[in-house]
Amino acid sequence: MAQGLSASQGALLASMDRPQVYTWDPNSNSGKPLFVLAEKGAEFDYHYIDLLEFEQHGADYLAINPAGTVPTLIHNQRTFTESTEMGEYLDAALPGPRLVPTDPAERYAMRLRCRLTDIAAESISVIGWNNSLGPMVRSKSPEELERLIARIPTEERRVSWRRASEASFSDRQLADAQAKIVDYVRELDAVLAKSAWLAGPGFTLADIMTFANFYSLPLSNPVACQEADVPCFIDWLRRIYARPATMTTFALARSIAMRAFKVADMLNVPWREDLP
Amino acid sequence: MNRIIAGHGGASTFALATTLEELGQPYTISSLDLSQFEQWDEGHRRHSAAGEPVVLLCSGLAMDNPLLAMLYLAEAADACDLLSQDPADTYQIQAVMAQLMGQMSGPLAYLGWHSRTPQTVQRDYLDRLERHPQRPVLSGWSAVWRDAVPEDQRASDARAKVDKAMAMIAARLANNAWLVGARFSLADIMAFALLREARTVLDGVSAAFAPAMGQWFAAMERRHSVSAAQRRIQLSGLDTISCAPVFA
Repeated sequence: MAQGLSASQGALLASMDRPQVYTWDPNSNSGKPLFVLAEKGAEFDYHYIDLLEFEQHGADYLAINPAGTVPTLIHNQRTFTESTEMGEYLDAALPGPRLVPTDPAERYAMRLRCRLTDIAAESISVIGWNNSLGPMVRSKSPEELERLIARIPTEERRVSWRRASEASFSDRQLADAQAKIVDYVRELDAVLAKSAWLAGPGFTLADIMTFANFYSLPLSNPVACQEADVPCFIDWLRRIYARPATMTTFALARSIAMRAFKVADMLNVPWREDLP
Repeated sequence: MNRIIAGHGGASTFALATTLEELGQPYTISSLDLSQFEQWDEGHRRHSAAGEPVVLLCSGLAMDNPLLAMLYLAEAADACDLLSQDPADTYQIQAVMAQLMGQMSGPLAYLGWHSRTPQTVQRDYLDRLERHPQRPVLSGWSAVWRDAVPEDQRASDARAKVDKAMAMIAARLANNAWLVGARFSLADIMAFALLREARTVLDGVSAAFAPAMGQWFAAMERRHSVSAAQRRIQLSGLDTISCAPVFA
């Protein structure tokens, strides 16, 4: 500890290099930095933000991310809010296994896969909102819901949340979303029939970002991922679930991501008994 | 030889051409007739399975995501002056590019086409699009938001997104000569390309520039790469604002 500093000041200094992650459960965008940090074997501080209680719109969180989106990463006094790009930052800034290829062409393929997954994940989110998240949010009283929405910092996002909380999706919207998910899983299966991982022979951020969105599909959308139809995709899921970093990350779950343990059981992937 | 295949001379095409000019790499530009849905022809789908309207063919690769293609070009050329050695600045460059494309690209295409295309041409195009078997289907939250916005509100929504993106650019330039860090980067190329399209499509854009933004824009216009890209696109005959919608 530097001379003249108090214990708390020294601790603060020491923590400045330690990533601070503010996010929800290891699910979708919220999960991306958690999986990356686990794969890197990095120590970090996890600040849980409960999206279902709209904590991302509370004053404390808005002080670090005025847009009120999750996740937020703070590292070396810099703030990062784009979940896919922050994965590349973490890979470059921290020691540990490389998650980004060095070859520019493979790097393009990795980034493209991340982009395509983000587009497909919209459809997973709509189905998920229709089936589970929406009812959870709507279980609040209209007055409480309006109070929570009023705290959202921007008009655009207030409109979005109001629409999402009221959302009664049309049959066409749900059908199109389901079709997109089915098509995308088949696309992933075709890629994995030719290579071990989504962007080539090595495990990369493309696998992490896609897994963060698709990890629960055998449970949440079994129609889209029958093993007989997409065997390579199911094998890929099993291989990622079997990675030590994966179940360690899911052990951080307090809400929606706890279903991962049920999925691991469905896939016959053993997980350590000391995990919940 | 690098080759840009493009259906319009808008931001994506301009940004790719400018990047190639910055790197001193030769390229050709081939056009696609989007009004005839050539992006969905079998020949073009060999380059872009998704039928994207702007593709870069380079070193045996077909890249149909222009933003990612720009990153590829800079990294393949080891062009430190377009990216950064600092991972945090590299993140900023990528994040700013993605945010600006997300905020501006779609809205500008919508505003440009609807404001500058005669109604009869619009109706004919949309009728043919509705019947086209290769027409992509918008799904997920993008479809939900599109359906939730009345037709007569879409233009104002699109303009609001563009204005918000311009405010973000202005804020970044208020105390900095460039968008990220102290140096010119791919983020400046992308932002300029989008603002160039905005100036063509919308009224009053230049007048809304804050002084620092105006100075930056002028500095960008003076770059050889920018004027060279402009000339190449003009010679190719590509229109800035002919990017018609593909989601009916």
